[in-house]
Amino acid sequence: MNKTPFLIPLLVCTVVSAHAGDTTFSLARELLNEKDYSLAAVEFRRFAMETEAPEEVAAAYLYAGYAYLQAGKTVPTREMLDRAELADTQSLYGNEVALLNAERAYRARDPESALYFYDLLAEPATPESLRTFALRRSAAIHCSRGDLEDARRQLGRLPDGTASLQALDTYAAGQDKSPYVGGLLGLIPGAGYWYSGEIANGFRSLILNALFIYGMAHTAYEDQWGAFAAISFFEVTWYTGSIYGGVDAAQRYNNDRLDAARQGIEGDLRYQPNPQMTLPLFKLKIDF
Amino acid sequence: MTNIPTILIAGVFFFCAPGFADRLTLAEDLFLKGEWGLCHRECRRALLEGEEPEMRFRLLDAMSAVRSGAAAEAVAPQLAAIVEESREVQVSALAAYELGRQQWRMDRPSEAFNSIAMAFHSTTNKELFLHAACSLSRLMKQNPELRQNQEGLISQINTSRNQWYEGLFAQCGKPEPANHEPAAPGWIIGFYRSQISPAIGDRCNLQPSCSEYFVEARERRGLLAVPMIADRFVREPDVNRRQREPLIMEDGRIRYADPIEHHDFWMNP
Repeated sequence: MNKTPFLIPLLVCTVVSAHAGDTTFSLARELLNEKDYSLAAVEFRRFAMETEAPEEVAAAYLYAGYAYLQAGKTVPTREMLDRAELADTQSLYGNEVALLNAERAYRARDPESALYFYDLLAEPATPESLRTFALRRSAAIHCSRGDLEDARRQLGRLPDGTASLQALDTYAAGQDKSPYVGGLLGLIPGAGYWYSGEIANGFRSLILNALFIYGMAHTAYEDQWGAFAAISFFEVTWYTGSIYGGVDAAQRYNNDRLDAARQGIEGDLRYQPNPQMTLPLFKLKIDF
Repeated sequence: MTNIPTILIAGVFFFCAPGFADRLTLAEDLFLKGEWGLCHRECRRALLEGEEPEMRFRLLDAMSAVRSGAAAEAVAPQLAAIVEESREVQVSALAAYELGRQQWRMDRPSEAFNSIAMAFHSTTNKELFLHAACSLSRLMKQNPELRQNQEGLISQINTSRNQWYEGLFAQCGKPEPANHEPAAPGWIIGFYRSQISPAIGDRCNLQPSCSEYFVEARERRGLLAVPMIADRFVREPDVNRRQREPLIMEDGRIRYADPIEHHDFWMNP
C-alpha cells in the first residue's frame, strides 16, 4: 500500500503531539489493545478535547469511532465519525471515515447505507487493499440480499476474484429450504428436521413423540387419567417442538448456506488501526 | 432505572449553559447516552482534579449513581448538599427534583413533596417545571394528606396540565428501586433449579443452559418458549457433537454457544 500520502501528517503530528495529551492517548491505545473498547473511546474523546491540532482531533475521533464500533455501539460511532469529518479540514482521512461508516452501517443492519459507502471506496482511485475490501464486502451484502448478479459484477471488478466468484457460484447452484415446507413436514414428528438434513435430530424427535404418544394411549386404555394429563402435557411440548424445529431447521440451513457463501466471498477480512503508528495518526491496516 | 425525561431535563439544562468546560461536555454526553458507569467515573475524575463547575459535576455524578442502581439512601445526602450549596438556581432546582424523587422512593412523601415543590417553584426550565408538576400531582394523589392547605400550589399545577404530553404521566410516578436482576424464572424453572438440578447435576453443555434458554425464550417470545425448549432438547446432542463456538466458563468447563438469537433471528423483533 502506498504510504506516501500519510507521511506529511505524520511529520506534522510528530511536532505537535509532544504535549501532556500523549499520556491520555497512550492510555487510550492501551485500553484499545486490551479490548476495553468503551473506556478506550472515552479516553480518545478526552484526548480530542485536550489537543488543538485539527488532524489530531480528527484522528482521535476516528479512534473513538473505531472503539465504539468494536464495542457494538453504532450510534456513538456515527457521532464520532461525523466529528472526525468536521475536524478533518485537510481531508486526510476520507477513506477511513468512509470505511468505518460502511462498517457501522453493516453492523447496524442498514445495507443501503453500507453499500453507498462501499461503492465510494470501490472507485479506482482508492488504494488497492481498501478497494478490494470494499468490493468483497459489497458483493457479500448483495449476495445476502439475493442480488447475485450485482454481487458477481462487484467481484468481477476485483484484480483476482476467482475464489470469491467460486464461492458465489456454489451458493447460486444450491437451493434454500422452505421454512413453510419444514413446518408442514414437522406435523409428522422428525420429518421437518429430515427435510433440512438433520437426520439424528429427526430420529430423536420421532422417538420422543412415539414414546409419549404410546404413554398417552396406554394410560387412556388403563383409565389413568391423571397420568394421561401429565404425559399429554409433555407430548404437546414435543409435538409443537417438532413443528417449530422443522421451521427453525430450514432457517438454520439457509442461514448456514449464506454464511458459508459470505465467508467464501469475503475471505478473512480484517481491519484495525495500524499498530506501527504510535502518534495520533489514524490509519487502518487491512488484512486478507 | 432509566428515566428518560430526566435525561432530557439534564440535556436541555446543561447544554443551554454558556461557557461549559470540555470535560463537562463529555460527562453530559455519556450521561445522555445512558453510560452511567462511565459518566460517574468521568465526574469523579473531574472532582478529584478540582475541575469547575464543581456543582454540576456533583449533580451529574449523583444522577448517574441513581441510574446505575445506587441506593436512594446513599445518594439523597449528596443531592441535599447540592441543593444547599449550589448558587446556580437551575442546578439546585434539578437537584431538588432528583432529591424529591429519591425521598419518594424511600417512602418519605412529605419530604419528597417539599423537595419537588421547591424545584417546581424555582425552575425556569419548562421540562423540569412540567415534570415537577406532574410528579407533585401523582404524589398528592397517592398521599391525599399532602393536599391540605396547598390550594395555591394545586391551582398552579392544574394550569400546567394542558402542556402535559403523552408519556409524562407514566414517567412521573413513584420511582421503583433499580432492578438489575433478571426476570423471575417462574415456578417450573424455580422448582427444577432448586429440587431437580442439584440431584442430577449440571448436565447441560450448552450456553446458555436449558433453563436459562427457556426463561429468555419466554421473555422474548412468550408461549413459543415451549416448542423452542423442546427443539433445544432434541438438538442438544447435535450441538455437542459439532463443537462449534466453544466457550470456556469461569469454572474451566467448556460449553458450546447456542444463544436464542441463533433460533429466533427469522422472527419479527
